[in-house]
Amino acid sequence: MKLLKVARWEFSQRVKSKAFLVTLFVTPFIWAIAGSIPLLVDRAVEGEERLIAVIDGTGNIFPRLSRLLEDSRIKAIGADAPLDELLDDLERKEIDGVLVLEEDLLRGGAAALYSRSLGGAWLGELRDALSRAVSAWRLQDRGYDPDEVFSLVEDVKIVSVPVGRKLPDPRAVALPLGIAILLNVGAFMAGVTLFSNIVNEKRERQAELLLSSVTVRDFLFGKIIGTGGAVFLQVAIWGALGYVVAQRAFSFPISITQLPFSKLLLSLLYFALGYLFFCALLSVFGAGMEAREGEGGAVGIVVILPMVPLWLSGLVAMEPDLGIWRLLSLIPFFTPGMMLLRLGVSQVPWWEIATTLAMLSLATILLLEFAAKVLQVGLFMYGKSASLGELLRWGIRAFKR
Amino acid sequence: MPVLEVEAVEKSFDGVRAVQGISFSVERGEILGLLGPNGAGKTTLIRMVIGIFLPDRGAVRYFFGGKPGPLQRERIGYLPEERGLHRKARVLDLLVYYAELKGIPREEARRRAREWLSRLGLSAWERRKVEALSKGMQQKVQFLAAILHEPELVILDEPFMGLDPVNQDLFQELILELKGSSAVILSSHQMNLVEGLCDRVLFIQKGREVLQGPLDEVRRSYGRYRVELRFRGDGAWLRELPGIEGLELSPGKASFSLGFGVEPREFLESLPDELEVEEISLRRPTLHEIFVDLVGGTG
Repeated sequence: MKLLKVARWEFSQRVKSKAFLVTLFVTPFIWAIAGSIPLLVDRAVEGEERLIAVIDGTGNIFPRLSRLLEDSRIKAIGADAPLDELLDDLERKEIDGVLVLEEDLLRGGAAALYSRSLGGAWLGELRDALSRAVSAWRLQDRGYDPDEVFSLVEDVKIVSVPVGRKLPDPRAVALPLGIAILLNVGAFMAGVTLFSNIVNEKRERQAELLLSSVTVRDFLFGKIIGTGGAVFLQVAIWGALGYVVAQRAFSFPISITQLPFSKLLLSLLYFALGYLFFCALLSVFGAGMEAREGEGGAVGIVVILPMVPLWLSGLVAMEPDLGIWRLLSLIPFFTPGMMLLRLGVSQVPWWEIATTLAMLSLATILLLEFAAKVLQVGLFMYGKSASLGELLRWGIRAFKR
Repeated sequence: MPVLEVEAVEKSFDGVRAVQGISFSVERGEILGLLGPNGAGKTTLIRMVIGIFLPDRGAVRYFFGGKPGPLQRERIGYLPEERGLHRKARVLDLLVYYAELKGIPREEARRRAREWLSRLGLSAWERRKVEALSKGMQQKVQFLAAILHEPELVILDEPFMGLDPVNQDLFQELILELKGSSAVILSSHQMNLVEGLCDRVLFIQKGREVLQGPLDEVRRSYGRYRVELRFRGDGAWLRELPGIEGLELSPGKASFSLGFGVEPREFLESLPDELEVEEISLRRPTLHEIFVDLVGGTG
């Protein structure tokens, strides 16, 4: 079959290219670095201690404040030196802040904090401890036992218990959710690669020679299979690598072999249909494009649409059966993404699966046929990029024939 | 029996009629010159023949292996005018790929590709990427992609474009060789190169046929001899001579065409006795002159 020859060529050319190898090895490094930076920063910051000099003009607050900060990252030291001297120490970075507590603090006044970089979490910790120390003094001043009062006014906790559905173990849904996201990303990458490939072949006038040997359908399907194969090989390697790392780092409660086979099969089906749908859509635009640089807003929207479920993945994972997600699942643009996510985290009713599969299949077949018709004309229209209207006209005219 | 028969095909794009009612056929062992200015509709006509475009009207019939049947892309070799090869692919891989698409088994394709690359002096380049080749070399590779599978019908669209004179001679030789086993359609506007190759020609202009027939017949039927004359004395008498057209006169020198149907003998007898002719040449019009004349007249 010529289709398979085209596919094999596309696959081998892509896999043998330097770009493929570079992307294959460099991307996990970039992900690893990007993922570990916040972690490293957090750890580095977490370990740091801040030294605060406290000038206690009230003569009552510092001992309790110092006790309250014992387990925190802030170390408070009592200071007798004048403020100017302490500010000089601050300037020389010998201390991180100077906290001045005046007498009026006990009657509702404010404390002054001089610091270079004491913000965010540290400031919060300091404020909490100071508030508690001042409140304790006020309570004691009026004859109450502060510890008793604090225990009486402790916050009440509410635990949410949903009825009819168990809350998923975040670690249990991580694997199917990860697979869904990976498949979505793969389909997106392969679709965009195919789009570039078609635009390049048109620009460099390679398509004509090829189409003297194969039908436009063999040309299109061969490219879809070959390009997709190469990209998915890449994604599969990344996925396997990520799975091994994640198993060791987070020890998932289930392994990939324990996932229900029917769900995996359905996921692959949605993914395959979604990939074909997305490729057909991008092929239509690729055929009308004179150069990739010229891609218009319409292509931008087409590229973004299948990514929408990915952006919503957090919300979908929390409430996978909401009406809005069900509605989006019926729109072919979003069907693969939404259903991959929902299948990963919940039990989707069979009738919904059947309906969405039927609608997506029909839309995909029609769109692939339309893409082949548009390619037949579009690949030989040189000079300028075609408008959306022209693309539609070419396809509709070819259908009428 | 012809290998290809095209009958009254028409093709329009957005209301513009690119090809209008053109008919022709081509047989094995024959080279048909498809001639016309840029934008005449040659490439559209070729794309209908190779099945890239469907004609709006008319029919394209194939007789591969001497029998009527459907389009078989494996039996057609095509060198497009718009040259395009995968720049990052290696020369040998690319040739094998194209031959495989034409139904040649991989090993056989590799053997043929190596043989042809050697013949065209490209053996040393077989593992190089296409982008490393000069334009002329790329043209040779693309030519090989069109003929490696030994097609019954070869269509060469502007095969001489961008070639130096040495390679033009080489391509002429190769095209004549193809004639032995294939029917060849040669589209070009480089008339001097086509003239020595074609058995028949089809001139098209603005999508319509302007002239068609065997080359000799076309030149004969077009029938206006070109005359170059050197003489002594005043040439003003030439203006009075009947049956000549397009006279260009300078002291001691004249060039002109004989009117349609005026035979050389007739013209020579009409020359005055007192004329002192130093040199005279009479020749049939070249394809280039016919082409310019036709295009000038209809364009």
